[in-house]
Amino acid sequence: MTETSNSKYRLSPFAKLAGVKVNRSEKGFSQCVIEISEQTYNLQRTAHGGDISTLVDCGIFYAFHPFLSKDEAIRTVQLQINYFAVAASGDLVCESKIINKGKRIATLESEVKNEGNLVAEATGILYINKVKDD
Amino acid sequence: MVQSRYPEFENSPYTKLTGVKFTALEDGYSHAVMKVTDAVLGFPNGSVHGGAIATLVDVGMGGALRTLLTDYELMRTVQLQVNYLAAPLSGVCVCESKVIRKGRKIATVESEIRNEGILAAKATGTYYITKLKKE
Repeated sequence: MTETSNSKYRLSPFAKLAGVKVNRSEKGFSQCVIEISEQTYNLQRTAHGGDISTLVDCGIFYAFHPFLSKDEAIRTVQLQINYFAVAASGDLVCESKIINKGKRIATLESEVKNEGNLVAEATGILYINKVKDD
Repeated sequence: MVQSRYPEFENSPYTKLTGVKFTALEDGYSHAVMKVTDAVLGFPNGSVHGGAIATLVDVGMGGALRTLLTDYELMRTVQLQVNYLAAPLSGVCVCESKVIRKGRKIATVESEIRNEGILAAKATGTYYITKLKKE
């Protein structure tokens, strides 16, 4: 299992399992990386579509997370991914940026690249909910 | 014939890593399950990661479509759209996938993910079918 080299950001258990690393997480921008390995292959020995969607889901999360106040949480409402190319080796780099931030709904956009090639493009919608204090 | 494809499908490294298992695979239909364990959570003691659900969907859809392909055909995900409706916290996520249409080159597949009977997500996928050259 790939351990995160960057302990600055809290990673979810599934992100750790998938080998996601967070390079940057700022208000409205994030850069997340997955190293393509045996573990993340599909049967055709290229990066699994599910692995790329996990990377994108993490990407939009970390691009929005810095906006949140202590009593707010986000959940993904919709994720649409367009796959353009297969990737068999190297890193998958996902750069996400915010398109619109509403009071309750935020829309973000991601691009996944492998060695400079555009592998996938995605749009994600997040819902911002208030966490009730007990 | 179809039976023998189960292990092959679950043998995909990423499928193994996420723990997705097929319980049925037939004529453009698949039934795949993923146990909600600590490893697939978005946050400790939280709900299942969106990426884990998307993985379950991609694997389930791939399995359903595989049943309609010959040994000389391969598929690629072209588009995946997942609408998340409820957050699974425990139990098992069940993904039922159905091929809506399989053309010569493009196939469209639809999935529903249920957790304890509640519809947790609904997804549509588009796949591109490539032919391998017979040797």
